[in-house]
Amino acid sequence: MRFFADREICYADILPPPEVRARIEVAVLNFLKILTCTDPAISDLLLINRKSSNRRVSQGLLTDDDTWIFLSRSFCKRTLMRANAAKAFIRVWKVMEMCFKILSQEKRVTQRELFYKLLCVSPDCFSSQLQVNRTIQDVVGLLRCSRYSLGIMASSRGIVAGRLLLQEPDKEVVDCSECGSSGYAISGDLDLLDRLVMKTDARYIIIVEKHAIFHRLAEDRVFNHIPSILITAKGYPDIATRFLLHRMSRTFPELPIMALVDWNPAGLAILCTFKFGSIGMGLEAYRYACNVKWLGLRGDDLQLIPEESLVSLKPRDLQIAKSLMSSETLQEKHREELALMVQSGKRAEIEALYFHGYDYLGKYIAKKIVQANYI
Amino acid sequence: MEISSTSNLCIHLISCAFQRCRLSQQLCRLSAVLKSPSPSILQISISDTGIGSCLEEFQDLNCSSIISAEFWDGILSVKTTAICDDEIYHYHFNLRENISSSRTLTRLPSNPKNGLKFSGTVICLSISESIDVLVSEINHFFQKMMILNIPNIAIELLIEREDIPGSRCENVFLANRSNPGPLSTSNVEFLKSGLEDYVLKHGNSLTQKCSTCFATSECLKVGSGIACSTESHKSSGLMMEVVIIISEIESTCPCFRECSSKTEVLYFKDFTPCSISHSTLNVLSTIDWKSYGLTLENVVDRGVCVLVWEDSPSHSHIDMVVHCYHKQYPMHKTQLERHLIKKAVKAALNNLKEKHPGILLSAHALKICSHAPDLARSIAGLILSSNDPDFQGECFSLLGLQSREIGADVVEDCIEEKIVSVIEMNDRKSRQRKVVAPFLFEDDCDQDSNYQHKEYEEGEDEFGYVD
Amino acid sequence: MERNASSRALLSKIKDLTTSLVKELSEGRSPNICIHNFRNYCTDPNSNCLCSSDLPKGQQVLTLTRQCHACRIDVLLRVLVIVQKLLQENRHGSKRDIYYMHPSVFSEQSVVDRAINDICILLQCSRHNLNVVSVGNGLVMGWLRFLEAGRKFDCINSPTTAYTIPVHVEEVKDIVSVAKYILIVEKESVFQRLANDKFCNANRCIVITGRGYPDIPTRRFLRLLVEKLCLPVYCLVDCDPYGFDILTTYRFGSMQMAFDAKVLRVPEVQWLGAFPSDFEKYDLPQQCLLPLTAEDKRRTETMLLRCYLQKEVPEWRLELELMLQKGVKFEIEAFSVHTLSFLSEQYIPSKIPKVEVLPGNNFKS
Repeated sequence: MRFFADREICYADILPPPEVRARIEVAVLNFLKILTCTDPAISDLLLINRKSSNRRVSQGLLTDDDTWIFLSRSFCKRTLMRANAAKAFIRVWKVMEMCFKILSQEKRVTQRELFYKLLCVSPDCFSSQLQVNRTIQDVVGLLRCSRYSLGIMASSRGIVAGRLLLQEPDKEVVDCSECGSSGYAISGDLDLLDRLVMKTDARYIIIVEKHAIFHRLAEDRVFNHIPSILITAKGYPDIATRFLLHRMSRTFPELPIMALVDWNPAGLAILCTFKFGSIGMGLEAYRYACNVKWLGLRGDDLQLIPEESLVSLKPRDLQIAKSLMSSETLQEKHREELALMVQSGKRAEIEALYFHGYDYLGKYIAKKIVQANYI
Repeated sequence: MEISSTSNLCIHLISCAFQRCRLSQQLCRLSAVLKSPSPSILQISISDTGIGSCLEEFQDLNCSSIISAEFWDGILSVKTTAICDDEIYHYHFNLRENISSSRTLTRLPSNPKNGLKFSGTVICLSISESIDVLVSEINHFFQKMMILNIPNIAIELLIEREDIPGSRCENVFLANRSNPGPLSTSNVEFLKSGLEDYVLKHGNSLTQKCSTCFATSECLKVGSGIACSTESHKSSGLMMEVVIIISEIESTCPCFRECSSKTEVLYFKDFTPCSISHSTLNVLSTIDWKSYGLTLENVVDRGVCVLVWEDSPSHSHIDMVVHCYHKQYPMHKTQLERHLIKKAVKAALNNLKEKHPGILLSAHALKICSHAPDLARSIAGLILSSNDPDFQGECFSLLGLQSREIGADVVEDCIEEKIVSVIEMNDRKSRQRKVVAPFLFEDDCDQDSNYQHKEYEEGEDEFGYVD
Repeated sequence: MERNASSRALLSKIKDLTTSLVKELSEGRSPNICIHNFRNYCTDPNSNCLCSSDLPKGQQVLTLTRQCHACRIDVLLRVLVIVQKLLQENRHGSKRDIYYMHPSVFSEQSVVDRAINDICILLQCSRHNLNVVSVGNGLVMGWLRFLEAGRKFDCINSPTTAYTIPVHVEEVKDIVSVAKYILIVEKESVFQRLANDKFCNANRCIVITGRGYPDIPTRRFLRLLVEKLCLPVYCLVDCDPYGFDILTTYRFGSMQMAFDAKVLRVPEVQWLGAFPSDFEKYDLPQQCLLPLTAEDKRRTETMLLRCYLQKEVPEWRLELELMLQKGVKFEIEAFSVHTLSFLSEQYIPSKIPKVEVLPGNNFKS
């Protein structure tokens, strides 16, 4: 299974600027060759299809702990020859041109700046930020390199705290347990993250869905009682946070990764994004998959929570639940939890545990870990 | 055939004469002589040196609306002889009688030809009508006839007015003054040169071509198309010939036609200018003009058929002539005309497109072409902003550009030109060539493993629940 | 030490309050809880208002006789109990944490927020004194070094690296800086632009962003820097109603936290840009201009009425009027259209007044 699945993976490389420029030059040469040959044509651009129909799942051989999703080798094309799609074709070239120039200057731009530049250079082609963002994904799908490699700045909302020593190249070692409750901010620069030297004496990695919970755990220095690394992306994870988590999982393969999320469909969806990736991240989705376990909150924990802290599921929750239910990657035990949520029609947030006092959260985590109560 | 006016009758008689000349395939002469011995009397004589008349053309004339005591007695005097006849026959037709009953055909004594070999017909009649109206109508008719440009027929119009002594005037319309060409040349070639002449002279309103507008010969783009039915027991070999000319006119020219967005369709049926039938008109409006970059606003039919274009390119004008005729004469009625005209018009448009790249591009190709400058600028930008001289060198050599000291404009223009020419080429081809786009950056997998081409429109990114 | 002193003072105030409540109740009277009203501006341009004085503007007396007051007192006391516990345990909690202690009673977050503000007014303290903190979102970089609870923030060492602004501003110590000014930028993307351009390598300054409307730690940290370093403060916001409102939040504080404005506002803030007039001045392409929406216009018109604009920064008001008059807005990112580094190499330097090099200063500019 795995062997064949691997053959179909399409992914985006993290490349230094000269290599990205070289790829763009290849695209130009290819275009000119076809344009100037004896039977000239305007060559289409083949991109990896980002539709969900091109999503594949790599199933682990024995367990489903090692499952992840990726984009397969189904292509779509951008062509000049269909009048109503020609603009999309031009946009790909415009964005490539802009990225090429930015990379030559050894600069980076934000997506907003790119939008303004394109708006002024070719207002006919670009009228919204969304078009720019989509076209960037097109270019990623064409050149097979990450968005960051194209010279587009990424910001990360992610932070880490706990028993982790980090060293950026030519910098002092940072002790994440001494970063206070605000933690160590994860850079959006994947290159830098790739070069981080990491050391730890932790025994667990704990993903925290919410910033406020992370803050509470860091302030209480939970990692002193439970030797752990805390990481949060403040909601749905960005690529940089997933990248760092993935690097940690590779560097410290013996550490189990556990997630503390709300007991609602969005909490599970966040967990799944850390675990499998998301197609929304396009070609950058697959490679940062990690074997994440669900620590809490789960159905079992509801007994710890006062009745009044349970809130009814909202339509948006049900929508997410439906989407999750149809996902082939969802593990059986996770599916059961989700079914319980839908069946009860209720949701609960982690903060509900404060009913037992603010220091309860740490005890709760410790107890669950000791009992290996995660799925 | 219903004749509604004197000029109508004259024109019918002239066109019959014209047909006889055409069929003779010899150099012929057609004269129309109008004499006005007194203000109230007009003697008309139409003579030709074509093949003799078989008299059929007079049989079904219905002139009842113009025959009256004070106007015309309904008598036609016809003298005719065929090349092999020994004498010149002389008849009197009395058109006063009904068509259905056998018409009074009075045969008068013939004249012997005395062994001379010639053929021809003279038709005379005498009516009470103002000469001026008739003269201008006939002149107009002849001007249009000149578009057909039939090379073997010389036409003259003689007018003698007794009321103004010495006013004899001659209008000579020689069909082929500039370049007679061999008689074997096909009709459509003559039609082409005829229409060209017509356009150059601003609808034959000038005697010389307008030098302000047409300084060079390149300003006319001519295309022609032919469609014909196969000769069978049902049809008699109907020919449909269409010539379309796109011309550029200087707006400074005093003859500049203000309505350049209008095209009068000059219509000929069996070598006679006439008005277009309603069904043919409908066919014209159903042609897919858009695939030639033209947008038909509407079709106006006020005696002449006018196609009104939306946003036709400025300073350019489209002229069009349609000629529908039977190879045989006299002809039989047929319904095929409508099918043929569509075919012929399209053939003419395609012919134009083939010969003149860049014109009559389909709306689709125009839309794509509008992106060409943008695309060319991006690619030129990519080439010129590179700091890799090898890459630049390779690009320039692919583009066929020599020196490396080339300005941005040159590179951009060169790429744009090539892009546009590909678009035009694709537009001319009925089906586009399928180019298999290459994968630019292949990983280690086999190329052919598992891919499908999928096109998708904007906004098709799909995001899962996780976003 | 200080912190414990303040906690002790607050705890005793809470005890006093409780005692007085108990006393009133035991005497059979409804307790009267008097809560002052604060505002940092009014919208009556003609009034001789005292908005800038930090004095309470009127008061509200909560009694048990009205049902809505009773509810409010209930919530207030419940929150007070939680706060007391936080202070006793020397622990911090967020507003959200407090809400989750009695979600059904509080019904929604805003009820808790109001109760916290009421308590601050009653006890005459700032929110952080109650050990109620929000997670910080602000970023800082530049020529600055400080300690927070023993942790060293050595921004000078790498002046183009972003550091998160500490949440416990009262624990910030040993601030060292050789900066000549502080630059506030509204948005993270502009902050990133400056970082990417290595702005702080070329310009001796400290750059701060609150990522939109600034949170309390960011504003307190800024205020602390200004007090300790006595540097000029410039603020760079989008030329739109939101940008302007964020600018006024930095300088005058927000209406919501008006009771604490004296601690949170930074009157030294000067508006650097972008002004409506900059559009022509810096020759920006027309495409970058967006028309003001009806909502934008409404917001702008309401803002124009704020008394502090008239009294303290009439020149700001003129620019805002100009924006309304032109009916257009634009973002800071528009400056990147010419060249990416236009903002850092031309726009900002052209606006910052040249600082005299003081004798004895070791740095050359």
